[in-house]
Amino acid sequence: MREQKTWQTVLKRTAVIVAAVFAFFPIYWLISTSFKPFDEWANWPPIWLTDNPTLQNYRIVFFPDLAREFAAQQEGSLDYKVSGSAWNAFKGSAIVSVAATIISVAFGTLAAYSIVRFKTGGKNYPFQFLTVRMVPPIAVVVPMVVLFSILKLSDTYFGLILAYSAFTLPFSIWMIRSFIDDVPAELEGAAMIHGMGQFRAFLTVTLPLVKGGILSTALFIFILNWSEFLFALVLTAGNVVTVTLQVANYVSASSGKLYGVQAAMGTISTIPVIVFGYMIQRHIVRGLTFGAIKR
Amino acid sequence: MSQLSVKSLNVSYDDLRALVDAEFDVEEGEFFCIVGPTNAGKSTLLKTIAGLAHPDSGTVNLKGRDVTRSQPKDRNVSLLFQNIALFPNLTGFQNIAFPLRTAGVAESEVTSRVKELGDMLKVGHVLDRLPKTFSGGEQQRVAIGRAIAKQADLLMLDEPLTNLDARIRTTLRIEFKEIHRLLGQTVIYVTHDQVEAMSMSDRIAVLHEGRLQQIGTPDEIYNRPANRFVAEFIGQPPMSFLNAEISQVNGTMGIEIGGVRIPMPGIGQIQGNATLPDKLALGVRPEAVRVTPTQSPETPHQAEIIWVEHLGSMSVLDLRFGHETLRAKVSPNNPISTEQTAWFGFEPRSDHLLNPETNMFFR
Amino acid sequence: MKGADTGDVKLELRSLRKVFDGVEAVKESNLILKRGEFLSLLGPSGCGKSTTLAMIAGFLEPTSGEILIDGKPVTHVPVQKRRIGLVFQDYAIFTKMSVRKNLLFGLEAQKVPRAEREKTVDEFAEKLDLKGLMKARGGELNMSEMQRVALARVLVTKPELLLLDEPMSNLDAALRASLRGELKRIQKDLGQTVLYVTHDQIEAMSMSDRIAVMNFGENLQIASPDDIYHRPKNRFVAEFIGDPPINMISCTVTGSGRSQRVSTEVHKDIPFETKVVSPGDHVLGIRAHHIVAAHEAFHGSIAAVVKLVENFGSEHVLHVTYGQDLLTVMVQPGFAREGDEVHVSFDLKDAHLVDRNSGAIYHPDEREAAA
Repeated sequence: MREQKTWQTVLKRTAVIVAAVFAFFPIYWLISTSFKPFDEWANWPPIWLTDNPTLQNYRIVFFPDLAREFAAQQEGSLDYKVSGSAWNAFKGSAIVSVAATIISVAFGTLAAYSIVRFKTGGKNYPFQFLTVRMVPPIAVVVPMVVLFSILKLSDTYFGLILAYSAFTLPFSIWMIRSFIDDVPAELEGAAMIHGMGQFRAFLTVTLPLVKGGILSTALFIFILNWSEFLFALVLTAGNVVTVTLQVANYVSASSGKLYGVQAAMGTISTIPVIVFGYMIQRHIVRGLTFGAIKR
Repeated sequence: MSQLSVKSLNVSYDDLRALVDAEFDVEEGEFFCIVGPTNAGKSTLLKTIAGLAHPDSGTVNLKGRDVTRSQPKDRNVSLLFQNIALFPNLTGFQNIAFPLRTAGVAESEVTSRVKELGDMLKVGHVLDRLPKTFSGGEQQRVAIGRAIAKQADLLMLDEPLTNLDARIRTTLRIEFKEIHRLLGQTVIYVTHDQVEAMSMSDRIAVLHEGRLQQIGTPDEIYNRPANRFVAEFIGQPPMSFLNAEISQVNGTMGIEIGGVRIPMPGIGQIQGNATLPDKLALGVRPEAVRVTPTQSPETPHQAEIIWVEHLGSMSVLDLRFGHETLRAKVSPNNPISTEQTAWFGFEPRSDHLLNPETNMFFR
Repeated sequence: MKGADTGDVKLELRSLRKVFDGVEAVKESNLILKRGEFLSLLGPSGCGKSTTLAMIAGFLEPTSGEILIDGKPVTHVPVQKRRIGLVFQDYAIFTKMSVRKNLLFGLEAQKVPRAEREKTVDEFAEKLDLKGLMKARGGELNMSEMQRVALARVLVTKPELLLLDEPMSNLDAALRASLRGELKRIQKDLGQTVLYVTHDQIEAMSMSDRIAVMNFGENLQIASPDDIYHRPKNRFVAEFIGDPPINMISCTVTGSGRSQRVSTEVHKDIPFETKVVSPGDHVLGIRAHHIVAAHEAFHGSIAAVVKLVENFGSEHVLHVTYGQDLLTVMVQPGFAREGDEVHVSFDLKDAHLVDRNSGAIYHPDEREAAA
């Protein structure tokens, strides 16, 4: 019996290690590539850890003049564009992500509260929200492009914020709903009996109890917004730039294979995602169990 | 003028009729109990009175004021919830102070009032802690403190003792009564435990499947139940029901139950006999049954004891005769302690004769 | 196989301990459950009774000690191999399945051959009075029927040992009363060995062959319901059992050995040999129905004022003053009202002398036996 147990342990550990390698390899590759010099980016056999680490790629990210200079050194590839500095992209992403997160979570909280407390829309309403989110984004993108150009929202911060807010709202509602659901209606009932109106009871009793949940929802939504690419790509035209677009910008139309620069940009823009993800991982698991466990 | 007057109140959730034509008055200073099994509509009734649930029709009057459409905060009622509902992020002190602070009571007065309540309810030592550190009894007492902190026209308690250990339950039951006497407040107390209802109330309303079955004092409810449900629900062990037929015993009127004839002269007075159907049921309270190991003038009938339950302060015997089962409650000193043949007797009460078709007692 | 000396013992706990985060939830529990016996673990919430049950079922690993079923250690045997039946407070039955399918389910899971499955289910349907319900779907049943089906579903698998964890605590009082008799009858008929966990003393008193009273992880007394009620070994057991709770009256013990005397408000210097109780202030425990109350003064009585009347229908419980203490007295309905003066007394032989320091109770009959 002892032996059997040892075997099981070995098997379990192996499985964990394989899964971990699978999950972390891309991150490792991203970071290691970001420090590789130009000629090692696409080598075969691959170079796992470079012998000549360089900060050149990061310099290119933050100082686009250097990038242009660098591009000039590449034979016959002056035609591709390295537009703007990464700072611009960070600014764009920050504005859009933060604003869209605040809007999504604010409306999501109110909608979730209404669904939980007043059974707004009936039993299946929250599911209907979620199914909206299950439509592949690509399916709605084309009509949105048309709509946005008619409404003159294309390539504006406001337009992108609006699109992001709308698209993350189902997530906000779903996650916050589960947190509000945890707060017994009697707590608000008690506050109302003891002299408060419904909305005040919500603000003073329920909100403080779910603020942790709302915060983690906000961080989750922020991460979604920060890494969004498709909407950013089709709804902008150079005026508004996000980090994901900036990464894409380092891909040249002709010959510029700026993998290292992409990796550097990717590494930097991943940092907030990893930090926030770590901060909220405990809540995320709970928020995404989709109400499977009934208390 | 009644403190509370409820008129033809109907409440429904989706297709379920939670409350049907509820109608009753509660007088000032009264301890009024609403008792009934789970899902009888008790909590719905309280929530409707408090303004947390909304009736389809009917009215709720508090001190002669129609509050049917008022907000909970404007009704001046207090409600202690079944699940206690202490604010988990507030200390014991802040919880009790909540209604006072919301009402804008001066902070110095809040402090002294909360201290006073804390002492009265013996929770002074937990006031600066969060509810999760309280024991079950402490939680309950702090919740009571919050419910009575501000003088309300009506204090409603929803199953306040459920989920507590038997011992704390007994202690708190007596404390509730004392608090009630001390404050002279009108109380509506909801419970599924008939012992609580019987032992605490001035009057009891028995609720079943959303309908009020009977309203009366504990003695009225116990001795003159309106129907079979009330008779079986109130009293532990419950009343037994025996199939009975009217018959003559030595020239006097009587009834026959499972082959046993019992004289019952009073039977003729019920509705002039003519209206009594052939088949009746007779309710017998277990403590009214005498059981002895040998025959005696008081115990003329024979039965098999089929089940004995020793509960310490009493023993419960199930007697079988004919096809009937009769439950008897006897003192622990009774010589019968196991399944055996025994002798029994009881005085049938004419007000415990039941029409088995309608399940109503003849009156 | 140690056939001979274990033949009668179904379950044995040997110094079973469980420690959670440094807190001893179960302390050195020793218990023997005989074949066909109905034993209750009784105690307030948090006393360790459910932890004990969880260890026997195999959901929790004991910190130390051993669990033996039929004389064989099962401490490290996984849950599904212990052949134990379990019914919880939230008994789950399949609402979309017929009662019959519900009953067959457990047997199917155990891969019992089809013909035998059907036969066993029919047999139990008969015994448990479920024949009329076999075609009904789980969702159509009332609470009492659901409970019976939940029980039957476990019983058909013929478990070596049936563990019941507060199976009635979600039910109304009236329903509980009728189910008690039913459960006991079924258990007796089948000769099923049962370990029943409850905080309700009435359930424990009415159904058990023996009761183990637990508090703070400790088995305080294991004895028949009769002994637990009439001969509690210590203050906790005496106070936990009985409704209304036993009265605890202050008393004074003087002298020692055979010349020991007890004094209370009504009793002065009554010989009461205790041996274990040292002279000084102690406590007398006396049950409400052992206190005699009358409207007129009688020999040895003391006047008392009725502070509170609790109406229980068939009897009233008076709370009366008795020196600095309050006494509960059980009387006939209508005997007295609040504010009345009554006269009370009791026979000292019905009382338990509780050692104030150790909480131990020394019994009159043991005293005689010892003398």
